[in-house]
Amino acid sequence: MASPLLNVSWDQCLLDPAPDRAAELALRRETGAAPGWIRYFLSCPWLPRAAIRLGIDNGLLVHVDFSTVDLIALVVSRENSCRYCYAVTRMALRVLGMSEERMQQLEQRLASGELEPKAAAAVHFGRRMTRATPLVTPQDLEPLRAAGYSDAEIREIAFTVACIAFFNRVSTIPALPPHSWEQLADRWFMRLFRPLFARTVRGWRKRGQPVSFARQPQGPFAGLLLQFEGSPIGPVLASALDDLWGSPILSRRSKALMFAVVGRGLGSRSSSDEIAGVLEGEGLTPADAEQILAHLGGPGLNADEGALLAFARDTIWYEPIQIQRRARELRERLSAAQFVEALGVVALANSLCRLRAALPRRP
Amino acid sequence: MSYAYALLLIALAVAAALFAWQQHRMRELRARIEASAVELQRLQQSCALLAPAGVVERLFSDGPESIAEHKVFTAMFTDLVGYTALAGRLDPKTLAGVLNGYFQLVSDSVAEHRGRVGTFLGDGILIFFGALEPNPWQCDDAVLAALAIRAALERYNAELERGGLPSIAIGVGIHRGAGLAGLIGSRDRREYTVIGPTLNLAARVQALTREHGHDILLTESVRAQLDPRFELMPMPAVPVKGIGEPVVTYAVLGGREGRARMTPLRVHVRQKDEGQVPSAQCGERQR
Repeated sequence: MASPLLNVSWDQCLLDPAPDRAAELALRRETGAAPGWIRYFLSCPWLPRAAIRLGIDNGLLVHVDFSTVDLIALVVSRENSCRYCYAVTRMALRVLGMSEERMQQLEQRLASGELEPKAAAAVHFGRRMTRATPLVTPQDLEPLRAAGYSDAEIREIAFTVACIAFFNRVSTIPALPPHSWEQLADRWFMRLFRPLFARTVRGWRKRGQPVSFARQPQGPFAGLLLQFEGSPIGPVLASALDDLWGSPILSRRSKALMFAVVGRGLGSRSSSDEIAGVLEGEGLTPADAEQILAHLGGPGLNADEGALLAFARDTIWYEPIQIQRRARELRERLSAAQFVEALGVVALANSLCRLRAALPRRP
Repeated sequence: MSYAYALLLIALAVAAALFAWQQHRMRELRARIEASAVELQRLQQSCALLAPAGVVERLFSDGPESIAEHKVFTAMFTDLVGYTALAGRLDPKTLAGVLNGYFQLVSDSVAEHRGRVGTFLGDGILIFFGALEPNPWQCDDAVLAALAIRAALERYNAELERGGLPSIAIGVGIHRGAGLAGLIGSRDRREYTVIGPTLNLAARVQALTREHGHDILLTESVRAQLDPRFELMPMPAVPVKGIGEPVVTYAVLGGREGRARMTPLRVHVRQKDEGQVPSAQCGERQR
C-alpha cells in the first residue's frame, strides 16, 4: 500500500516550470544546489533561494537528530494534507532503507500515538504548532523539556515544524505534482540502485555548524531571529526576510498587510505588533490599518490588494483542493512573478507567526 | 552414524518447518497490517463526511474527549418560509427534489464563506462560523454567506418557475455569542456541533424575519463586529421567548459593494402588527 494521503484531492499544477539556465547556475553557485522544482519559482528569485537554504537537511540543524526530523516532517505534512511533501519524505525514508512494511507500521504508530515518549512529545508538539487551534504558547514547550530535549533541541524542533509548514504551503497551494514522488520508491531502478541512492540521500543530510549573524537582525521578527543566535538557522531566516522585504515584485505595503492578516487570523498579537511598524512606515495610520485588517477591505485598498489579503487569510487553515481553487483565481489576476511572490509571502508568514508564538522574545 | 544423520535430518526438517511457519506468520501479519491500514483509511474517509477533516484527525490522534471547547462563534439559522403549504402542493418525490436543491445551495454558499453546516433540522439548517478555528472575520463571513444564499435562491427560484414549480423563500437569523463546540452526543452516536443559547437566539431571530418582513436579520452583537460598509436597516425591538430584554435586530439590505440588494420575502410574510414602527422610519440606514 502506498502513501495514506493518496486520497487527498489535488488540482492540476497552477505553475509552469520555466527553466532558466543562467538563473539556475547562479543559484547553484550561491546555495550549492539547484533542484528541479525551483523551475516553478524562478520568476521570483528570492523564493527558490530561500527554499533551498531552508532545506532542513541542508546544514541547518546542529542538535536535533534526523529521525525526529523525519517524524516531524511526516506528521506536519500529514496535518497540512501536503501530498507533495509527504511523498518526498516517504520516498526519502524508503530510499534510506525503510521497508514498505516498516513505513506502514510507523504511519500507524503516528496515527495512533503509540510512539516512545520522547518521539511522542515531538510529534504532539508538531501537531499542536501546525494546527494552531489555538496557537501554541511557550507552555507547550514544557512537555518537550520533560521528555528530555534540551532548549537548543527544542528551538530546532519548533523551527523544523515551521520549516515543513513553509514547504507544505509552497507545494500545496500551487498544486505541485506529487505523483512521480509517490511512485518513485517502487520503481525498478530505485529497487536496483537503492544502496546508491541511499548514499546520495545520506550525503544530502548535513549537520550544521554554529555560526553568528553577519549583522544584527533588525525589523519585523528580529527578536525571533535572535533566538537562533549561534545557530545556522538565524542567518538563513534573516536573509529570507531581507530578500522578501527588498523584492520589488509586490509592494512592501501589500506584503506587510499579508503578514498582518496571517498574524491576526492566527490570533497572534505579537506577530501583529511585529508588522505594525512596517505598516506605519508605509504610510498607514494605525486606525486605517485596523480598519483594513478588521474587515479585509477599507480605505485606499486596491482590488489586487483586496484579493491578496483574502488569499492570505485562506492560507491559514485550508483543504488542499479549496486553497488550490482560490489560488487559481488569484493566479488569473496576477502575473506569474506576483503570484509566486504572494505564495512565498504567505508561506513564510504562516511559518514565522507560528514560530514567533512558540518562541517569544527573550527577556 | 545413521542416528546422527537422522537427528540432523530431523533438526533440519524442524528448522525448515519453523522457518516456513515463521514466514507464513509474517505474511499473515503483513496482510493484517495492510488490511487494518486500508480499513483505517476508509474509516477516516467516511468520518470526513460526518465531521470536518481536522476534527477527524484529532479524533484519531487524541480521542473523542479532546474535542470540546468553549468558543465565541457566529450562528446562522435558515428556515424555509411556508414549508407546510409547499409540502401540501407537491408530491413527495418532487418535494424532496426541491428541498435537496435548497440544502445544496445553502451548503455551497456557506462553504464558500468558510462556514460549516452543523445540522439539518427538518427544513431548517444550523450553520456556524468560527467554531472550528479562530476566525476574527466570522461576522462578515456569516453576512456574506447569507447574501450569497439570497443570490443563489433567486437563481434557484427562476429554475423552479421554469419547471412549473412554486418558488421558495427563506428566513435567515444571525447571532454571535459563546457556546460549547465539540463532539456531542451519546456513547453510540456523536456529531460535531455547537450548543448554547447563541443558537437559540439565532433561531428566534430567524423566526422574526416573518414579523419584520425581511429575509436576513442579525443581532446587535453581530452588527458591532460587522464591516460598516454593509447596508443595514434597524428593526424595532421586539420581545422574544426566553430572552429578558426585547431584541433589537437589523435587516441586511445590501453587501459591501452595494450588490445583492434586498429581495423581499415572497411567501407567506405575516403583516406587521399594528402599532409597530414601520421599518423604513425606525432609524437611519447604516452604511
